[in-house]
Amino acid sequence: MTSFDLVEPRSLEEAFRYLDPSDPAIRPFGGGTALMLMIKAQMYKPQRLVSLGRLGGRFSGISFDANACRIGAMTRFATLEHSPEIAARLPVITEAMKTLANVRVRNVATVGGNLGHADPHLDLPPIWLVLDAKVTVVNRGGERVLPVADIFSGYYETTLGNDELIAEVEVPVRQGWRSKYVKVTTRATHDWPALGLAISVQIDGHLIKDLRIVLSAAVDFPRRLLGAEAVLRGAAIDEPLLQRAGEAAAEEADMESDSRGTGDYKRHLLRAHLRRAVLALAAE
Amino acid sequence: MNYAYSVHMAVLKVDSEIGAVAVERYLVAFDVGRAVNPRPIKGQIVRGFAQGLGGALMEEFLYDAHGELLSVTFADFLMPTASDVPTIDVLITEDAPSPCNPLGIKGAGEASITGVGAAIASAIDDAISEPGAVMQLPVTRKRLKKFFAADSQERLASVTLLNGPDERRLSQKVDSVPIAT
Repeated sequence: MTSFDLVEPRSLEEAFRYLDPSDPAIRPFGGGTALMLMIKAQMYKPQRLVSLGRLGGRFSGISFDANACRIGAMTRFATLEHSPEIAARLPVITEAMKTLANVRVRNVATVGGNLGHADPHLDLPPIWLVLDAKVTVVNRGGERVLPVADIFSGYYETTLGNDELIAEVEVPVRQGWRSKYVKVTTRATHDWPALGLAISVQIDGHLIKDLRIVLSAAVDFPRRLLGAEAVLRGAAIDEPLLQRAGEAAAEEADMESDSRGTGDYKRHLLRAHLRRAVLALAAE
Repeated sequence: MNYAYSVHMAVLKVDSEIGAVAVERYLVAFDVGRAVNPRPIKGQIVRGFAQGLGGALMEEFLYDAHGELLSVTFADFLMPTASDVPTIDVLITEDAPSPCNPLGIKGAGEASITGVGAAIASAIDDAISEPGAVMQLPVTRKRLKKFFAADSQERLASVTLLNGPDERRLSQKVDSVPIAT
């Protein structure tokens, strides 16, 4: 590992002074958990790393109003995990933390760093998508707001500019919706998921009024399964419906074989876990 | 010459829809000759079980077509963590102290590892009612799923969450065994 400079600016203005979008050896980072692995594997050789962890302001903290939750991009996973407000109003996040990495990573990794990394195996991005979250991105000249779904453009690829920093995530808190994230590991509990499945439903007895389904890990970036959603939307839950939804999901999801399972096995897992997740949400 | 020996019993559920195995109850009975300090012996046996469970369900050296090792990091070669290892029952016995040393002690480690693969494989055979079905360790989901591939569609309709056909029978077997913890 070669040496590099590490700076920890206290303000956004200071951070932008240290950053240089045109120099690939100068990069901002959040917790650095993924970045350190890349540096150790010599995939990346930085000259200067700019930690955003001490920015404060809108980059930090969790706050709620009546309809939404605002999460600063430098919020650490452990903070989300132990927030009583998150547990009460966005329990799908608290639940996901139980099998997300390990306590050492959760103490360090940040919401913004996790999003910017754009690794399709990560657990939080599909949850942001299924909750219809938005992201505020800032640069020297101003800021823009975009749906989390619009950040991802490919395997480890984002639509964000080199001069842009993720500042905060805004998650709608909708009455009457229930959400679930299923991390499907096929080899060991702490393995990367073979697929991640996030489902959000507005349900009345056995009638699905509205829903969103997001698939991750087995695809190049988290994607909604619109075909399966269309099958389930407005329908009453029964076995033939769930089978049709599973077939629609398996049909539209383009999944490759890898060490965690063949494409066929992943399609089978998707059918099975989609069915189980909808039944579990209906039983809540 | 003397032998340390152990008996392994497994109760598990096979999720026939996705090919997953959940170990629900496990017993290692181990004759250690004389248990000079039973507490670390129990720890040794529990740890041995964890290692055996890794070999039974997870740990595998995989090679590509050119003989290149693929399982080069602990992200590829997976060991069980606390989330994968159930609490087990341990019965330490002193039935046959060794005549070869003044304390009568025998080995108390490896036999808690070596029996796990066979016990898990046999319990899976029993759960799916196919004696001799498992011929290779680790029993990964991909491998186990193959046993159900042919009739998975028929089973889908009747499968609830974790479904092992012979679970009740197995549980009764184990309940009749005195278990020390």
